[in-house]
Parts: sequence; structure tokens; C-alpha cells
Amino acid sequence: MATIAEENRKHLRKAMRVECWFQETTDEPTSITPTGDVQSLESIANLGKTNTTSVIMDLGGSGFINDGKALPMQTDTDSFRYGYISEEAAQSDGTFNTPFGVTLSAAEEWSIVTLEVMGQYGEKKIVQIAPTWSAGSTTIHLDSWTPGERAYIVGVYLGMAWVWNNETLLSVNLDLRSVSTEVGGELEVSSIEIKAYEPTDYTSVIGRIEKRSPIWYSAGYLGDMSETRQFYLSETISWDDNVLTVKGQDASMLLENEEIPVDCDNYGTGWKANHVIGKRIRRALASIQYEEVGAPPDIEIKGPQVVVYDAKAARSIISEYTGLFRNESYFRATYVDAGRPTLTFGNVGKTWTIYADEISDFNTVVEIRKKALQIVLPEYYMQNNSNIEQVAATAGKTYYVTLDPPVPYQNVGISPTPTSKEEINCSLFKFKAAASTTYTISGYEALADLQDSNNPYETSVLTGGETYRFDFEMPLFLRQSTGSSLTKLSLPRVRSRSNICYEFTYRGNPHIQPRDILNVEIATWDNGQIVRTWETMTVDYVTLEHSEGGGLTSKIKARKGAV
Amino acid sequence: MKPWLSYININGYDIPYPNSFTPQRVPNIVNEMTTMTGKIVGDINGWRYADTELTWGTLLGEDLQNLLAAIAAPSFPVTFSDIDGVEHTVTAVLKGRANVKTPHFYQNKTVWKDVSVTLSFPDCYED
Repeated sequence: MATIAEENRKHLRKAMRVECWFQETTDEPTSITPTGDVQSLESIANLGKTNTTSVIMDLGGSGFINDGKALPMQTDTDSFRYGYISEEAAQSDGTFNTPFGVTLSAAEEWSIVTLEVMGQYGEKKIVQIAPTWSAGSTTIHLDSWTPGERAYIVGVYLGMAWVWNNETLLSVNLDLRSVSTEVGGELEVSSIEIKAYEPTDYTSVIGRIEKRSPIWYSAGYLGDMSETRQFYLSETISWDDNVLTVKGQDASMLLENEEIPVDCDNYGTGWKANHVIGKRIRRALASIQYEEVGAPPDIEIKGPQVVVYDAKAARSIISEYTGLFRNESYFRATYVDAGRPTLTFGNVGKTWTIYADEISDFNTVVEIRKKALQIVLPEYYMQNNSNIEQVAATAGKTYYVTLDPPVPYQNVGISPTPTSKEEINCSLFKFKAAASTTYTISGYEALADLQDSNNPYETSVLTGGETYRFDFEMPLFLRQSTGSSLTKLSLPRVRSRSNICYEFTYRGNPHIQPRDILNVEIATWDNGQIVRTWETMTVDYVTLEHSEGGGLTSKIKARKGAV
Repeated sequence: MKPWLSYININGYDIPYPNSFTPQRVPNIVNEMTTMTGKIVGDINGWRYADTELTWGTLLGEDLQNLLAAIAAPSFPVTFSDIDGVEHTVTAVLKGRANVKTPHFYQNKTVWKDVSVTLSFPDCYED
């Protein structure tokens, strides 16, 4: 069976199989009632849900041919083998003795009801029915089936659905994007545009379809199909001259209204830091999937790690965190549901090998660094040893001080020296007074001067009492090490990413997604001889352009190194 | 239509079967590109009939008139029998024709020699 990698090595590659499907989403309360013998099916309760694929019935039986000879399967306990085909059910010409029926009830009379069918090779098919409604319900009857054919009916839906493949697709263009350019960059939007042949005029129906309706895409060869990528309808479907145009975007558009409050966490050191960061991400971004592949390893980190982030939309935070993720052992985002990353730990990105025979138009692009880090440390970072709180204390008593805004514990000072001090969390500080006097809880010691750091690797030292203001646009991983008398800041590793990018045209592999690692063979010519070198790079953008019949070209922008 | 292999039907006109016409299936190649190593690669997304030149050793004046009328349209159907023995009707586009045709007179009839047209078949088939 052909694989994408094998086919890409051939001069003439077999066109890929491209599959896209679409299903209208509705919040319309629906109930589905089976009639006829279908009532015996146990899974019928699940059928009312949209976006689920519940098998109604196997019209061929499990391996039996529906020629009227198969035995009844109604007593079978396997949920995927629910009855149905027997001599009683179907005659040899496929006619059912007792017609199947599914009654749908809905508040609105929908002009289209869709039956989703899975064929004997797993292929999806769609049957669209214009039902006749009566008092808020309609019944779909199945009177016969094609003898010898096997099919599951996997769902009954209100509204439109389509399945497109090479026979009906005119073009499919995907744009899969991620952020690795700069920390704090805007979340890039991944998108899809499908043009498909559709002879039936559905213009009266498609204008009503909700924009969050899902669109799925997969391509490759039978046995080596890509992961299914999900998008959501972003523009009204158009139909013109027998061509449907369907445009979708990734899930990030669903995150626009989710606001994450300002917060600050001190994560301690070592592997706990990673663990807590993971929990934080999971909690803050509950709307994205989280998967912990393995326990975080013990990473030796000198000094504490701190994450500070400002109040902003979940979409922005996803952008920022995905910018910080890198391959190796830290949390990493994968983009199976384009733009809605799944977080994994310890799951190194997939590596793909691309040969010089598969690419053209290879260009190197050197990005210009944005000035400095574009960060703002909150005001309490800006003041050298400024007072945060003063507490009139009595010797021997314990006091709790609320730190507003919250600060990392390591930077809090207290004078005079108390009997003991303890950080409860980044916004609560506890100390036991040694003497009856006024205790002063101080702010931070000086951090690095980031204001004019044109060179992102440069750090300098503040002198006492100066105030700096930075534009805070990103969460910040701080790694601190204590110098002789001042605290220095070493910049996060993310800044060490290369600003060298590569752009090239590639024959295309639908498996490749943003942040995957590529080993690319680069061919250059020297006195008529080909010189081959290899370069490791990380994918920023991938475009996939399918032409009619499954042809594919791809454009990739990738950053030097495994970031 | 008249019996196959004696006539070809172009845009509804039956015209004597050309001397040279053998329908040939070729892969339809898209997305061609020249790689970094100078190789040309592409995708085969099906097959189509190869561009072909139809030539006639002699063609009666009446048949030539029919032929010229048949190929006047921007695209037109051509019906012929392929190697599979099945009659196929495919869309054709005129790619070129011989401008010089030689008239001969035989038994008070005009007979044309050196008649040729080149057709292109744009439709692509998956199997």
C-alpha cells in the first residue's frame, strides 16, 4: 500500500485521496424515536446528539451479505452489531418486510435532514432528505436496501451535511499556522477553503447555517491518511455556477471571549516548576486539551522560575505559551485540531525527512528582531527596594501581609530581620516579629535593564532607586541567578531561537503540521556538481493546495533549528 | 451513427475514419515542478486522451464541408471506438489544422488531399 513518503520519492506521484466533510451544527432541541424493529436497538438514546456518530443499524450485518439469507442479529450483545439483517428483515431484492423508521421531533421544521452512512470500506456517504413535517415531527422510512451492499447508518441530523472527495472536490487550500517568530506574537489563524461541485441549488438553506459548524479534512493514500484536522465554518457558504465555496478557520475563533485574569505564580525549582506550570496552563486554558504523556523529568534549574502574565484573552495566552513551547522535554503544543493546540509533555515533535528532489524555490529569509523583549514587568518590578507594606508588629506575634500586586517570594525583603518568614503564595507573605517595632516589607531588588536591550542576550544591572517601565505584552520565564550583590536576569531560552527562516515549495505531506521538525536536504550547485547538505528546521507555516483530482503542492516556512 | 471504424462522429457529423487516428491514453500530470536537483516531478491525477492529429489521405468535398462545420465550435463532442471496444464520446478542442489542402478532381467530383486537424482532449478520467 502506498505511503505518502514513498510516493513523494517518485518522479510521478499518484494523486492523493482527499476527503472533506461538513456538518451543520444546531442547538435545536431534537428527539429521535425509532419505529419498527429499530426499537430494539440499545444505542438509540444517543442518536439525538449532534456531532456524534452513533450506529443505528448495520444494514449488511457483520460480515453477512444482505441477500436475505443472513440470520437475525437482534440478540447480539455487541453494540456495533445491532440487528438487523435477516430473512425477516429483507427479502432477496433488498426490500424490508418491516420498514425502518426514525422519527425526529424539532421545534422548527427543517427543510433538510441528513443521513450519514458509512460504507463497507469505511467511506462516508451522505443522504440528504427533504422531509415532510407534521406537528413538529417527521419520520424517515427506509423501505429497501441494495442487496449485497453493506452500510452503517451512523447518524441522523437536522440540517445539511456534505462529504466531498476527489470526485467532487475542485480545490482544497489549507493554511496551517503557528507562532515561533517572537514570544507574544498574535495567534496566527489556520484556515481552509473548499471548492466542490454541487449541482443542487441549496442557496435557500445554506445562508442559515451557523458559522461554528465543523469542517473536517484528511488526505493521503488509503492506509496512510493524515490526521483529521478540524475547522469551523467562518463565512457563509456560497453557491455559484454549481460550485460550493466553504471557508473555515481553526478553533481559536471560539476563544475570543474567554478572559484570563492577571496572575502571577512562583513555581519553585526543578521538575516541580514544570509540573506546576503544566497545571497552571491546564487550569487557565481549560478550553484546550491537555495531555500529560509522562512525568516531567528532573531538570536542573538554578534559581526559581517565575511566570507572570497579564489579563488577556485565552486566545492570546495560547499564542504566548505556544511561542514558549519547544521540542525536547518541555511542554509542547501539537496542532491536530488546527489552532487549538493539544499540550503534551515530553512528547518530542515528529520529525520528517524531506529530500532535495521534493522541493523547489528554496529561499533563506533572515528576520529582523523586534526591539528588545517587548515586555513590561509590573510596576512592582520597577522599583528598587520600594516599600510595599509597613506593619506595626508586636514581638512574638505572627503577621500575614497581602502583597498587592502579587510578587515572587524570592524578591521580597523584610526589615528588621524577623524571627521567621514564609511565603504562603505569591500574594501572601507571613512573618513572625522578633521585636515590637514597625516592619517594612520591601519590593524587589533590581532586575536586569531590558529597556534598551537591542541585543536580546545582553543584560545589565540597575543602579539603586531607578524606575523603569516596560510594555508588558507577554508572559515571562525568568531564570534568576544571584550575583555578587545584585540579581541578574538571564533571558529566556526562547530568545535564543534563530532568526533565520527558510521558505520553499514542497510536493506536500498532509501529515506535517506546525512545530514539527524537518530534516531537509538542500542541494546547491558548485561548478556543475550538486552539493548536498542537511538542515534541521521547525515548521512555522504550512500551506496545502490540492488541485482537482487530488494533486498537491505545499509551501512551508520553517525556522532554523529545533525550537 | 454509421458503423464504427468506417466513420468518426465529430460534433454530430459522420466523417470517414481518419487514416492516422489511434486513441491513446496518457497520464494526466499536474503540479509539475523542477526540484533543487533539476528533476521534474508531478502528480498523476488520472488519464486523458493524448492530443492527436487526424489526417485524411483523401476527403470528398462534402465531407470536408462537414468537417469544417463540425470543428467550428469552441469545443465539440467526438465519438469513436477505443481499444476497449466501447464507443466513447469525449469533448475535444481544436488545437490546429492544415491551412493548405490540395484539391483534386476525380470523375467530376472534388477530392481534397492533405487534410488534417489536431485535436486536444481536455477531460481527465480517474480510471
